[in-house]
Amino acid sequence: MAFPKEAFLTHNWQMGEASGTRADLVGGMTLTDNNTVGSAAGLVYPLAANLIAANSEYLSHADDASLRIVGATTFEVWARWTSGTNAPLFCKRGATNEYESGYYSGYGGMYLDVLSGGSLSSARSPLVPVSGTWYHLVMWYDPADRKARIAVNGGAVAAGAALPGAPNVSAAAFAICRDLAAYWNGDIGPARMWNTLLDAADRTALYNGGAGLAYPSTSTPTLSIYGAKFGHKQVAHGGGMRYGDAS
Amino acid sequence: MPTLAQVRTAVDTKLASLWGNVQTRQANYFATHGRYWQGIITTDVDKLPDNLASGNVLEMTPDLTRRPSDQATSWVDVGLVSGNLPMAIQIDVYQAPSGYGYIATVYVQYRGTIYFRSASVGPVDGSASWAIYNPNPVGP
Repeated sequence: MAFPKEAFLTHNWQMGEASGTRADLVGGMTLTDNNTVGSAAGLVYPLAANLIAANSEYLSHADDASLRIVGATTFEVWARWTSGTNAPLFCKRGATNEYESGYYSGYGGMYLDVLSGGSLSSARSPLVPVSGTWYHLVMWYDPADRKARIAVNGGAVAAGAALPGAPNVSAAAFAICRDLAAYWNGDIGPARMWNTLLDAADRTALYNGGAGLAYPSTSTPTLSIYGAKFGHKQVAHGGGMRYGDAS
Repeated sequence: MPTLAQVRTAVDTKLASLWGNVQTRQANYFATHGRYWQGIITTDVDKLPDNLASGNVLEMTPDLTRRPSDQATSWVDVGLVSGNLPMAIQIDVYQAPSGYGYIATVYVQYRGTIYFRSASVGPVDGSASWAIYNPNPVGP
């Protein structure tokens, strides 16, 4: 299975580390570990980042152009809430608010907010997270109509209002699971960004029936030599080729 | 009623008086543990006293027993703070690709609005001047 819009993938935080900084396997934007973020069993990969709100744990990166919404931008996150309290999954905000995602009871579910000046495009899914359940969130900003959108678990797409102009950009840091003194409780990973839009088929492929999709994805093309078929499998994480393995 | 400037000055003065001690003790803690000491916020931001009455800048009793679940010592154990404070304070620690550091953030409430500022040590500049704290999503 080809990885959706792989050429436009800008960041891929697998969150497979047990602790410490979290590597970006595509964009090189290694996340800073704040207040000792641990790990737990993951869904897509063996490990996911485990964040404890009471310990004020979060991950972050200084501002970078690739972390701003300056055109078509898509976010993908797998997240498992430990508690369903209001808290951010990720955001980029400071003196200037750019964007934020999470769960907010005042919105009635999960959301992506994108701002232009003081105007807001707020895409809201009605899903309220159940503790201990993995959720697949795909959220994007489409510059064609200037709307934020969200789809959870490959389901219906919800859109926010059209912005009057381009989204805000600033020097604010990018943070996963913290918004000022609000912290998120649960497991997260992987988290990814594209500088393009994904279509419904792409979202379905990433959701993969609830199992998620590793990057690089596995593929099983076959070679036919003298009438005999030999399969090969490209192993995830650049592990190379194993000939004769058609599993 | 204290003015916002008076409230900020009171907090700035207190933070300045603590900052040298924080840096000394953090250096010692890092030498022993290989990481900096984390301080959980001493008063939750939704429980900050509101500086709207007459008189002096309000002080609060910090909860110095707080500590993260993966750290053995609290504020009491490290002795960084004692007595009442005009603000809440927390110290976040980090491990960045470029090294270790910490950020101290203070919070205070004035006429229903919460303000914060930060000071930091380490390769990541976590310092921030006074700004309004809004815990809700970025929208209204």
